[in-house]
Amino acid sequence: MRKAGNVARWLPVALVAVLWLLHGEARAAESCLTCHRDVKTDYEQSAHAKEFGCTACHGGDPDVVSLEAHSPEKRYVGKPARRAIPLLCATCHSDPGYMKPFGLQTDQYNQYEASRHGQQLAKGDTKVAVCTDCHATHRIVGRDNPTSTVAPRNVPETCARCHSDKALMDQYGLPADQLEKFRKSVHGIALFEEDHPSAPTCARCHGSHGATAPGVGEIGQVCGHCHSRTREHLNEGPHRKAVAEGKLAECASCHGTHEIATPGSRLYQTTCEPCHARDSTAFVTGQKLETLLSRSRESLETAAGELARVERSSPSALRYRSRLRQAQAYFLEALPIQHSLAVEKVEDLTRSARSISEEIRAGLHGVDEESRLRYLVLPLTWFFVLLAIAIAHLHKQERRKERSTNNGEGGSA
Amino acid sequence: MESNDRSGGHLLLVMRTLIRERLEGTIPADWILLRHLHALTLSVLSLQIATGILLMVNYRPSVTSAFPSLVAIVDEAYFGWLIRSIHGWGTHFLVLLVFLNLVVSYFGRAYQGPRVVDWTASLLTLFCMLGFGLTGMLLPWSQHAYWSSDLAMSSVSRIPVLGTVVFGLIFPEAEIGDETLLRSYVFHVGILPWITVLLLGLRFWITRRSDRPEIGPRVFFSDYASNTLIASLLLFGVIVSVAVLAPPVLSGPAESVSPPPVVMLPWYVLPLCGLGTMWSAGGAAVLAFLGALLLFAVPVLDRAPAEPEKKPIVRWFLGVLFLALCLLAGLKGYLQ
Repeated sequence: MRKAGNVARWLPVALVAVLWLLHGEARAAESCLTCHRDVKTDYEQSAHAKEFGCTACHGGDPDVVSLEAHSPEKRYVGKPARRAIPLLCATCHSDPGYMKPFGLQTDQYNQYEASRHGQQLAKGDTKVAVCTDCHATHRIVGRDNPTSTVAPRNVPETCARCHSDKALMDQYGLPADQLEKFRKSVHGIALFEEDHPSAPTCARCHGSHGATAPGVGEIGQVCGHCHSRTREHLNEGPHRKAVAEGKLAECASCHGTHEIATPGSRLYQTTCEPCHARDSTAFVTGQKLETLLSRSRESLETAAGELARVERSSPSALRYRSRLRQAQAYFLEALPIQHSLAVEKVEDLTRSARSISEEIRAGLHGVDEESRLRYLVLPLTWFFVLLAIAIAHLHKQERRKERSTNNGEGGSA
Repeated sequence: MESNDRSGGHLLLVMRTLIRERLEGTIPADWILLRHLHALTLSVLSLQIATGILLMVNYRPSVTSAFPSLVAIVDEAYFGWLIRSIHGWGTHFLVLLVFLNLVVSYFGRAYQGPRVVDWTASLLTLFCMLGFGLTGMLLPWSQHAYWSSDLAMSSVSRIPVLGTVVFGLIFPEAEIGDETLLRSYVFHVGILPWITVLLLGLRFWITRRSDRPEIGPRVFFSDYASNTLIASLLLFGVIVSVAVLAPPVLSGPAESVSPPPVVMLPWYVLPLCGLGTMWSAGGAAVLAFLGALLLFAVPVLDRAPAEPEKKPIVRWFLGVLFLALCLLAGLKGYLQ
């Protein structure tokens, strides 16, 4: 009982101490910002502003509001050297105890060391990206904030700050047109134009902290993270052997890397020929697949267009919506299977999609005919309406005549 | 047996005489346009009740069966597509008629004396019609129905006091579901029709009471009844034509996780949405609420003697200004 009383007595003291410490931290930031006003807004918007003062990274004494605060005795670091930045960030970001409350991972430094950026930095090349190049220096905000430099939509531009710099990239023998190509690609369109929440950015394929270019044998693995069924079917097909022999860069050989266009039958026209002669069996197989898929796609598009048209005028066309979805499902199933080059399987699926599409079109034709019959309601309605109006009008006239006759009789009487 | 026949024949004769007497009687010639509008409103309301009852035969108010039952109405029921389409279009005509009624009443000063009850009842009828539109909007449980109800209900909930009460009554859950659908249905078929019929009855009664038989010119009731019948028949023809030529599109079943790219609200809610774009949503709701209060207060504000009116120009200016503002806000809402 007495013990509890003691604890209760010390509680206010502990509270005051905690408040004093927090106040001190806030004061620390404020005293630096008295002179360094240019970074005030950036710092105040950063995720660190809630927890850290400037001294956490720059050292110095926040209690002294003069240049003495910058003395080496006060452990003043100033602007950290580029080479020291990853390790400086890692002092907190590699500490699981510290990062756990924020739900952040702690392997960034290890990943960075293994990345191409980290490897170059270890060799003394300070032109490569360090933490602050991607996350900003003072305005460090999480990727959930849409204005963050590492928010998914902003990642391509953040990478391009260096990777579109031709002079810099020439030093490493790297191209500098990736962003330009990515913008036009199916992934870029999904990210920038359609605002698709799961559209891939540079980091999805190259990694973020462990950024590196995937090698020839790894491309399928990288693409397969999202396109898993396609990868499975590619591995079932004859191209697997060519990949194993290093003759084929998996997905990239046909689809490209940054410029990946919306896949279509066009690919069969342009990508088979460099490896297969036009009269070879392999080339003919490709052409067969192309014909099956494009005919099925055309048939589906026509059915979908007609359904949209008929639905507007006739709600009963709605019953074909689910059939159309079924046909689309067959077609979508055939898309990854084409990578196995199994013509029979693709033929089965595309035939099903096509026959359902034809069935929908025939059904819609019937609905169209039926809806034309509906227009017969119009002349019938108007016939009866006008007939009733004529009767009402005649009745009115008759009653008027009757009244005038009665009035005449009344008048003469 | 013979006496039964006789009494039956007698009853028919009495009825015939009564109808004849009524038809041969006269009614005052003033407010004849308003009388016609009353009658037309009643005709369209009857059409709505008739088609509504037919729809009730097949409709099932639950999340799982509402949409399939509507598809069955449109697809399988005999002339179901036409009945549903007439019912859908009827709402628009009904709101328009009640609105026209108010416009004619305002510009003709038909809100003075005993007609103050008629004016108030007309306004309440307009709100009932909006209620019909609002509760009926959700019933198809289609994508369009779900998302436009969601939008409309969130606008209504912002109206102070009244909005919260309506919101709480029809919208008992955080997310639109079975309960909301059932309540909308109950309001649509079980509560609002009775209130509307009562209000229209009250208006007819007041109109009859306010007739002054000894003063002013009069017209024969049979002429009035024939003209009203002709107008109702013409309107019926127009409603059926619109219903055949432009049946409401039944977008797919409601999906609460994927909103359609465009949500279109009926025209009579557009002025409120337009206000929402010009001011903040809350401000617009308060403004609409104040506008409605002002309409109710019109008979109190204009208590000048009926004739001669001192400043008719002010009343006309205010009326036209109000209509222009409604139109402008509606246009803004449409463009939005």
